[in-house]
Amino acid sequence: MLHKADFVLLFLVIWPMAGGLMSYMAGKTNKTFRDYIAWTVSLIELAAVLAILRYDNLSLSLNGICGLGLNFTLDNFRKIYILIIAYMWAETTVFSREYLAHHHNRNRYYLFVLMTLGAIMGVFLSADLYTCFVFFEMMSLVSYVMVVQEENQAAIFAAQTYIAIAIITGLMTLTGLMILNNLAGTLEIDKLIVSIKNVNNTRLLYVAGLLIFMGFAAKAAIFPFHVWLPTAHTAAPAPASALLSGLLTKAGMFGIIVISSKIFINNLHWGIFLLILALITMFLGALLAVFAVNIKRVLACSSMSQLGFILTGIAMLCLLGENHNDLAVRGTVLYMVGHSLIKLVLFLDAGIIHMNTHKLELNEIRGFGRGKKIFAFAFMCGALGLMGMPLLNGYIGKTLIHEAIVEYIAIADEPLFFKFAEWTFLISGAFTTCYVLKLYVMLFAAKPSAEIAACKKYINFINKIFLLASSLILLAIGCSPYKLADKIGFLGSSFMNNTLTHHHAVNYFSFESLEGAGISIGLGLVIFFIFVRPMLMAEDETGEPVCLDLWPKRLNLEFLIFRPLINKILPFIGALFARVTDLILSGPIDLILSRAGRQRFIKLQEDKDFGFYHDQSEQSFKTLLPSSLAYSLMTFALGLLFVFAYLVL
Amino acid sequence: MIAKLLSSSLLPVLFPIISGVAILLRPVNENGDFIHDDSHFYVGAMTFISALLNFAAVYLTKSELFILCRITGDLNIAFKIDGISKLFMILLAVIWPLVTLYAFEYLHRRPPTGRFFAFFLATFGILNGVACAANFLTLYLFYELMTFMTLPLVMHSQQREAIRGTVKYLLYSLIGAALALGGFCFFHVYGVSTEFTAGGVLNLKELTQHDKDILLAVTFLTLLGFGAKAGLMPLHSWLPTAHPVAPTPASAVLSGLITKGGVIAMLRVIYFIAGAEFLRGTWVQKALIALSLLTIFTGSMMAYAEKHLKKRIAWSSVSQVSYVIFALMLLTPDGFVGALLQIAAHAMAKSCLFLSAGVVIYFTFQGANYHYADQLQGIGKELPITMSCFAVASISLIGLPPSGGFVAKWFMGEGALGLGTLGYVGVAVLMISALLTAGYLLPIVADAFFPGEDYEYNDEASLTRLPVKMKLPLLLLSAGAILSGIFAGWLAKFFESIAAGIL
Repeated sequence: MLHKADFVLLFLVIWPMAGGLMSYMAGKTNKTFRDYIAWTVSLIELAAVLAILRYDNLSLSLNGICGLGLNFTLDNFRKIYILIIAYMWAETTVFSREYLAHHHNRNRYYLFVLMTLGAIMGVFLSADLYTCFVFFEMMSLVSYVMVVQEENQAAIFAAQTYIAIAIITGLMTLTGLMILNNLAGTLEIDKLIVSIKNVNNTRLLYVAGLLIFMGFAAKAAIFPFHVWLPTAHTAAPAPASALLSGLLTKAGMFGIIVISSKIFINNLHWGIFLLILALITMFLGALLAVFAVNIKRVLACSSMSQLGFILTGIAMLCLLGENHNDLAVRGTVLYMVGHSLIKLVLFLDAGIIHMNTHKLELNEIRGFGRGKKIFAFAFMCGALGLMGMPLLNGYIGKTLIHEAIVEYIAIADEPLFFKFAEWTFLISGAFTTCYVLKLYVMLFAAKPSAEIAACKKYINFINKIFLLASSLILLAIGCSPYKLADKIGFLGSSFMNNTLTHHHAVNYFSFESLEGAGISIGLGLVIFFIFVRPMLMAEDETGEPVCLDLWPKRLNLEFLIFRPLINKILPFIGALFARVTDLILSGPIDLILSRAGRQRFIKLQEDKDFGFYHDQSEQSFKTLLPSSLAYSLMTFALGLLFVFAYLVL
Repeated sequence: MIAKLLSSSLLPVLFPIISGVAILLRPVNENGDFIHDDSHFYVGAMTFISALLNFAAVYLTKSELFILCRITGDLNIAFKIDGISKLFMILLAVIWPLVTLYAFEYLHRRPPTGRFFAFFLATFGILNGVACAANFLTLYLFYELMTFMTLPLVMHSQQREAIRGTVKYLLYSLIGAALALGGFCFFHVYGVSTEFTAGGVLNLKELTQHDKDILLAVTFLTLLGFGAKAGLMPLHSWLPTAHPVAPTPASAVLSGLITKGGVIAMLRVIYFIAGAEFLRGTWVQKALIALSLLTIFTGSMMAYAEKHLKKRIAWSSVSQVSYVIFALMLLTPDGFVGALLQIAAHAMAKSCLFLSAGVVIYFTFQGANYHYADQLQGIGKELPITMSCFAVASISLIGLPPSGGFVAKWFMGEGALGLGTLGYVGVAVLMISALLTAGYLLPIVADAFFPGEDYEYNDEASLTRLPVKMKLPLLLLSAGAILSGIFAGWLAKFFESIAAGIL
C-alpha cells in the first residue's frame, strides 16, 4: 500500500536538488533573492522532515530507475538522522549568507551545497545498498565543490586528495557490492541478515565486505584513508566544514554500520579488524589535533579522532552480537548524534572567527573569545561535550561505549587486548581534553591584540539565535540522560540489529559511569600540564602563550606514500606496460605505413595535368571534363552498369 | 503500401545515401563551400527526414525479411529490423541530426563544407545498413562502404597529417575487412546459411571436431577483423591517429557511432553466425576477453599519458568500446545487457565529449584543429555550458551514478562475476580503467572550473555566447548521458528481452 506520505521520501531527495538549481538561476540576476531562495529551500526541507516524523514504516520503491531501481525507507534511526541533517543544513545555509557575504562564486556554492543535501538524504533514506551507493557517489562528487570553493592553493590541493580518494575507494565499494549481490542475491539492507546465512563462500564474503568497507571508511576518515580530512575540512568554508565534518562523515558510518550489523554481526575477525582501525584512528586523530596550530585543523583532526570513537562503538556492537549489544548500539547512536551537533557549533564558532578576522592560525586569533558571551557559551557547550564532561551531550555516548568495552572484557577470550583497547580509548579521551584546553587557552585565556579586541559586533541577530539554540540542544541532551538521551539511543535498535526487547538501564551518575570520564579528563589535565603546555606551547615577548608547530612536515602519509604512489609510480609502470604493448602490436604495421607515408603526396597545384591525357590547363572546366581520365572511367563504368542491368533484368 | 515501405528498412538506408549524392551535386565555390545560402537548410531537412524515417521504421516494423536483390544462388542483399537494429537506429536518429546541427556552425570556418555534408549524410544511411543487414554478405558490403564513405570525413582538412591518418585508417580497415571476408567464405561453406539466425547458423551436431577447430580459428579471425573498426587490439592503432585529425563533428560520430558499427558486426558474428553456444568456454572466448581487457587497460593508460586532448579522447574510445566487446564475449544475459547499455551510454557521452572539445577549439584556438589538455585553465568560466556538458559526459564515461555508464558497468560486472577467475580479472580491469578515466577527464574539468585565486575574471559582457546550433546538441547529448542512466531500468528490460531470444 502506497501512502501519500511515502512520496515525501522522494521529495526530500529531489527538492533540494531542484531548489539548488532554482537558487542558481535566481543568483544570476539577484544575489539577495538567491540567498533567500536557498534559505527557503532548506527550511522547507526541514519542515518536510518534521511533517513525516509521525509516520511509521514509510517506504517507496522506484522500479527501474537507475538500473536496478531505487528503494527508500524510513525507520527510527533514519528519522533521527534526517532530522539532524535537515536542521544542520538549514542552520548552515542561514549562516552562509553572512559568512560568504564577501566571497566569489556564491551561486555555485549554494547550488552544490543544496545538491549535496539531496544526495545525503538519499544515502540515509536508502533501503538497499545499491540506492545507498548511487547517492553516496553523487554526494562525494558534488561535495567536491564544497571543498574547493575558496579556490586557493590549499583548497585546490585538498580537493584533489578528496576526490581522488573518494573515487578510488568508491570503485572498490562498487566492486564489493557487485560481488555481494552475486553471493547473497540481494542488496536490501533488511534482508541481508537472512540471505547472508546461505552464503557458503566465506572468503569471498570477506573480500566483498572489505571492498564495500573501503568506500565508506574513506568518507568516515578511518585510517589509512583519513588523509583527505584534515586538509579538506580546513580548506572548505566554515559552514561547509560543519556539514562535511558533522554529516558527510556520518554517511560513511551509515554504510559501515550496515556491513557490521547486517553481514558481519557476531563475527570476531571483523570486529577486531574494526576495533584496531578504530583505535589507530582515534588516537592518531587526537594526537594530530594536539599538535595542530590552526583552529579549523584542530577541529578537523578532532573529527577524525571522534570518528574513531564512533567506529569503536560499531566494532563493539558487532562483537557483542545481536543479543548483547544494547549498550554499544545506544552509545554509537548517541555518539554520532552528539558529534554531529557538537561539530556544528564548533565549526560555526570557527566560522565566526574567520568571518571577523580572516585568520585561523591560533597564534593570530589569540583572545578572540573574550567578552563574546554567545560565542563563549557555544564554544563551552561544544568543547566540554567533546571532552565528555558530564551534563553535556558527549558524556553519555562516551560512557555507553566505554561500558560496552568493559562488558566485552568480561566475556572475551583475550581480555588483554580489550584491556588495551579500553586504555587507548581513555587516553585518546585524555588527548581530547588536551586540545580542548589548548583551544581554551588560546581563545579565552590569552590577551587579545588590539585588532582582535576591536571586533565587537561579530555576528548578526538571526545567527546569534541559531547558534544559541544549537548550543542549548547540546546542553538539553546532556542534562536529561534518561528522558532524552536514552530515547535517542533506543532509536537505533532495529537498524543496528539489536534484538533485545527491554534495555539495560544505566545509572549515568553512578561512580562506575563517572569513573571513565574522570580518568579521561584527569589524565588529560596531567598530560596538558606536563607535555602540551611546556613542550608545544611557549611564551612570546609579551608573556602571552603561543603555539609551536612541531609536527614534522614530512611525517605525512599523503606525501610519503599516497601521492608518490598514485601520481608517479603506478602510472609509470602502467604507461610503460601500455606503451610496450602498443608498440609490439601495432609497431610492424606502423613501420610499413611510415615508409609509405614518406612518399610524396601529389598536390593539385603542382601538377594540374594529373589525370588528363594532355596539357589542358588553359581551358574551362566544361571543355576540360570530357578529356579527363576520370570521365573516361565514368563512361566505362556506366556502360558496365547498363550491361549488368540488362543481364540481371 | 506506404506503411509497408516505411516499415521496411529500405528508406532509412537508401534515402540518406541518395540525398547525400544529391547534395554533392549542389554548386560550391572554389573553397568547396556551398554557394547558395539555402543549402544548409536542405542538408538539415534531409537529415531530419532521415531521422524521422528511422523512427518510423523502428515503430512500424514487423521484423520481416526484406530482400533488396539477389546476387547469386542463396546470397542476397537483405535487411531485417530486429531489436539490435532498433537500438542502433534510434541512437543514429538521435545523435546524427544533433551533430549535423553542430557541424553547420563548426564548419563555418573549415571548408570544404559541401563535400563534408554530402558524405556525412550518406554515412548515416550506410550505418543504417550495417544495423539492419540480415545476412553476412549485406553486413560485409555495408561495412566496406562505411570505410569508404567516412574517408572524406577523416581527411577533410587535407593537411598532410590528415591524409596520413586517412591512409592508416584505410589500410587497417581493409585488413580487417579482408579477415572478415575470409570468415564469410568459411561460414558460407560450413553453415546452414549465412542469414543471421538467433543462436548461430552452425549445425553443431553434424560438425566434426576438426571442423569445429577450423571454425573456431575462423571465428577468431573474423572477430579480429571486425574488431579493427571497433579499435580492438591488435588492429587498434588507426583510431588514435585518425579520429583526432578529422574535424570535430566527424570525430564525434566516428568515436560515438562508427566504432559501434564494428561492434554491431562483431555482435552479429558472435550471436547470430557462430552462436553463443558454440563459443562458450572455448579458447576464442578467452582469447577475445583477454584481448579486450588488454585493450581496455592500454587504451585508458595511453589516454592518461596523452596530453593532446582529442587524441586523449580517441584513446579513451579505444578503451571504452572494448568494454562492449568484453561484455559481449561474456556470453551471459547480464553481460549482453551491459554491452548494449554501454553502446548507448558511450555513444552519447563520447559524442558530447568530442563536441565540447570542439567548442573549445572553435572559440579559443581558432585555426587549430587541436589543443592540449593543460591549456584549459579557467576555460569553464568562459564557456560554462560547454564545460558543464563536458563534465556530465565525463561522469558517464567514468561510470559514476546516476549516469548511463554506471548502470552499464554494473551489468557488465554482474555478468563477468559468473565467469570465474577471468571474470574477476575482468572486473578488476574495468575498475582500474574507470579510475584512469577519472584520472584523464576530471583534472580537465577541475582546471576548467577552478583555476585558482589568481584567475582574472572577464566581465559578463565580454564572455563568448555559445551559438544555439552548438548549445542545443551539447545540452541534449549530455542530458542523454544522464537520462540513459536514470531510465536504464526500462532499457535493460528491453535488452533482456533481446538477450532471451539469442542466449
